[in-house]
Amino acid sequence: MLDNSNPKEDNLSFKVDAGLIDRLGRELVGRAETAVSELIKNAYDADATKVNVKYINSNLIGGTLIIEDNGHGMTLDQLKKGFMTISSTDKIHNPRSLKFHRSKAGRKGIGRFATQRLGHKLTIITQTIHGNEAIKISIDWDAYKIDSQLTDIQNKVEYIPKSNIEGTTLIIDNLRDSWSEADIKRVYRYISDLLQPDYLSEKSQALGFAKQSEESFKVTFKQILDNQEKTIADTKSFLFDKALAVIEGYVDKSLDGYCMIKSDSLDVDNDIMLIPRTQDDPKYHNLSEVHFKAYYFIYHRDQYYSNISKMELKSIQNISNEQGGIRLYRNGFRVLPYGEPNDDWLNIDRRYYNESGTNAPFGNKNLFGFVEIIDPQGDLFEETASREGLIENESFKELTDFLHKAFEVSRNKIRYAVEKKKNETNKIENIAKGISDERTTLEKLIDLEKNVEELTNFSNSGKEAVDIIKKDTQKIFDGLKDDFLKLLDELGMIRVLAGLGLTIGEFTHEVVQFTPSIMGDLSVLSVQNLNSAGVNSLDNLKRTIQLFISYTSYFNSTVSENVSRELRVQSLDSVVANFQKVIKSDLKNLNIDFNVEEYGFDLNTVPMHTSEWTSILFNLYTNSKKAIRRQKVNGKIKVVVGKEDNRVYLEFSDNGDGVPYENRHRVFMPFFTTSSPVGFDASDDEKITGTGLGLKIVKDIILGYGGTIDLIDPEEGFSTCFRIDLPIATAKQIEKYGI
Amino acid sequence: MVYKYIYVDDAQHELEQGMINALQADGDIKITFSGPRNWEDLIDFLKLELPQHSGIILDLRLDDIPYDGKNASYKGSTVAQELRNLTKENTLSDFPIILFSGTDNLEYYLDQTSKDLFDKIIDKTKIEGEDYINYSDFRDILRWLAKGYKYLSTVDRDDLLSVLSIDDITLLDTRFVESYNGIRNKPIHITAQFFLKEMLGRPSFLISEQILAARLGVNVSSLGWPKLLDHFSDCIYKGAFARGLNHWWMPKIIRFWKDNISTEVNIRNISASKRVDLLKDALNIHDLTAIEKSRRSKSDAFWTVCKVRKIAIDTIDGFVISGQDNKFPWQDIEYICIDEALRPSKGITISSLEIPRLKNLKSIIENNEQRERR
Repeated sequence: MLDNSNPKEDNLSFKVDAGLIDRLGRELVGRAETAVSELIKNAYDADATKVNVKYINSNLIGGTLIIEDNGHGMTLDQLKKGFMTISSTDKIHNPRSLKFHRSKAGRKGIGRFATQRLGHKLTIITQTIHGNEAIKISIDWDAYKIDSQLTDIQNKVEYIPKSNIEGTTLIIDNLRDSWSEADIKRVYRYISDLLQPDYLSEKSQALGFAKQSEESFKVTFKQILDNQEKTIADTKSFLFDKALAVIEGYVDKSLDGYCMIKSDSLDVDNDIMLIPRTQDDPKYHNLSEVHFKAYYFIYHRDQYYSNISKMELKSIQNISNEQGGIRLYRNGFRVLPYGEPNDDWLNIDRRYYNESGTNAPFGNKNLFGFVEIIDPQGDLFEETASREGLIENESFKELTDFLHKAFEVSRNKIRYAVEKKKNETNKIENIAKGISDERTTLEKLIDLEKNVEELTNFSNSGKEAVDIIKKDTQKIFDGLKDDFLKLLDELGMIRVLAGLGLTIGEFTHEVVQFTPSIMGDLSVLSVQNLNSAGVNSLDNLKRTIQLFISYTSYFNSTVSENVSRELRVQSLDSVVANFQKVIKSDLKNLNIDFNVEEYGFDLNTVPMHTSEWTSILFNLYTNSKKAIRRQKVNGKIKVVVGKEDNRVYLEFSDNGDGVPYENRHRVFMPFFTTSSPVGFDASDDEKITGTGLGLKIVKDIILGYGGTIDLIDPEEGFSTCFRIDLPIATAKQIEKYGI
Repeated sequence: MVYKYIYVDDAQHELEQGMINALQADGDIKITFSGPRNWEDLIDFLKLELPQHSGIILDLRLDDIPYDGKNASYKGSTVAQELRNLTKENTLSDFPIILFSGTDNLEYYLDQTSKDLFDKIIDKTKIEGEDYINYSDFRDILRWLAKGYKYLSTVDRDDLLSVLSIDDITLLDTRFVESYNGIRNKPIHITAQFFLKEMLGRPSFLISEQILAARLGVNVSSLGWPKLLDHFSDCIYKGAFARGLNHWWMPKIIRFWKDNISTEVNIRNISASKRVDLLKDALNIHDLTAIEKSRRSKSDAFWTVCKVRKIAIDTIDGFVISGQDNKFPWQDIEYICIDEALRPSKGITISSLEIPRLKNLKSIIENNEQRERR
């Protein structure tokens, strides 16, 4: 008896689980914008010249997206072999489009998954030029669940009357995402490399000449909310409005030729210039109305423009290979081969582009231009028999002559304006090219923000450009990380010192309470009858206690002033005099000759915290003492205060071992110290003060008040001189903050 | 004589011991100490003890440590006010009150009326320091104030001449007499304050030794100075709150000059050297050196002393100190010297009327004394 298990097979074939659709969709088509741009690229590949994209009530999830093109559409057979066959070979067989020979833009086989990614339901209505009916197929992507066979799921096909001559309409319902205006605009940018300029002037439109005669590709995005239609983006507003300059010219009814240049960012005057045919005879007798317009771009120089990003400029550069150049239209129809790649009918490349050392390259690839000749009766121009160009009669010669001259004049003007712009932006350019630690942390953050913006806008086009930006961003990140680590280090040290400072403040406050008591007992001892040893000790005790008290009372007053966080106008001569009093005994002890010179009166700084001057002077004093010690000389310190040009200054000089020229800026950097690592037998001064933060703190304080500190050439007899400059206090400040 | 003083302070760690030791160092001053107590207890204590004492020393902040578990919620000035009230009510006799405080920013805590409660204010943190009195001076002050109050309580206060220990009423400005008469029936501490602040506290018809030296044109380090002073001994002030050689009757000095030195030459208008010459001749004292004017001053007809730097100046070289518009008519104007005005060291401001003059002087000096870098 045969068992109930499956009968033995002698060959097996692969089956496909329907869940594959969903998986492939998610893996191949990441983002919704990518999905839409893929579908539009498919329309491009189908030789469409117009695509209408409509978002209906898509501000929330569940809306509808309609993509309507006028490409060649699909026959049933094409539908079966193309759309309905996953991993079809169609594009391999046909790398270029049928009608316009476009290099196919869409990625192989993504279209269907793109629709699945976008919404739960898809309806395709497609018709070809020769077909009698349109085919309508409805696909419910939710039906493609796992554990069912891909090939088992049926999708309904209907045959309906044609709504267009040819073309395909995709209706994607129940969108999975919500679409804001910004989202829609982003899609637009993704397909920018396909977009072609709007060539036709208002004149030919007014004359009703045909518009659809050539292979443009126009995409319009509309958003429909509650039946209100709004155009979100279209070609013209995107691409060519951002040109560096627009050159326009015409020959008018009186046969005079004119030209002018407009630019948002270059300094060109907008004058209308006369383009005379010859000096004696300016008119173009063999022409009738001629109109031309060219959009001019310089690549790799986004900084010259008023509003363009690197990516946008790169996109334009990419399409310039195919679409750059000056095209010719006669009565609304394109005349080939003028303006095709490799055609240089105006000798633009030959004359200008190869000029070396030019800041304003002027080749076909820099120009997107068109020339329109309006010659309804065909009097002036004739096409050659092979329909490849015009006969080079007098009119044609005058035409090319006019255009030559106009472009020559324009080019010169642009060249000077670009030169000027280059000089203006030179500094910025150098910084942009330069090493990241030339920029401040804030500038780096701004750069980073810009890069990230660009990256999120252009994930598809120009892999090369994306790589450049990625590398640049990584560099900025590294630089920023460095900055932050350094800052944290510094902060840590400063926190330690600040904590110490607070403790000292409390300490001195306590000490001050002891003073009258100590002095009291001392004074009693003074009147006792002591033996000589007693007298000696007492004298010494008095002296040392006086020292102790003078130091602590100095700090006590500055701490209490700091606690009240009051700003006061500082009188430099008083500040220095007070400081001198405090260090008097120390100076005597170290045998340092200390001199103060005062020039001028009312040496009042802008309001500051009194304690800050304590920090500054003590810091400079400590550094001087160390320098003097290292130099092993009889120490001399001189402080000069004065005023110059509405600023007060203080110069602190010593005759210590000096600061080497190469360190004159470094001394102000955090953790720069010439103090050798503190050893066991280092002086106490060095133990506390060798942190390397002293001068940085001093500089920060001074900069904070709009002042400067520098090492300047010392006067005779001194080796180091620090000069501090601060703004002088205004009368108002003196009144408000007091001295 | 033993002087007993009460001392109220809230010092921690028994720090008051050092201060008390110093005040008692000479043996003739005895201190009765009290830490802060609650208000009622303190007042009762003081009412009880003060009659046995010459005066009281108070700290300003009395709320550092709790006493009997209760922080003092009053200040030294509160106590002083209460004591003055008690005196007015005749509950207590009058006595000197001294403020001995280490508070930073005394200005912030005390307004003018509070300051008027104290006969003397001494800074704890500065005592025995540079440019300030020491404990020996403090002891002198305690004695002096005690003596002065005692004197006023025994003398006939209706008789101004007795109070001032003079016999010639013409020595006095009539307006002074008038002012005194207005207060003579008030409690003694009112009179004490009046004398200490408005008569002895600033140059008036009574002047200090320093000003005397300036007016005579004599450098006090001259060897002949004590001998010279001897000649003027009749001019020494001996009335209430007299203190050794501290004060001199200016009217008497003038008279002496007229009588003994010169009737024609007015002492005010001549140079110091001229004055000294005349003194030398008239009194036969040789070791007298004239005071020399400072570099920036114009005149050496000295008449007063810089309030901050204490150097002799002619009023023409001085800058009027601000805030004197309400001074009494018998008081002299006080000045600071040019150097002090140019670079203030004690925060004393000059009168607004003097500002343009100072500004002018500053620009002249700035123009003339420019820096030359070497």
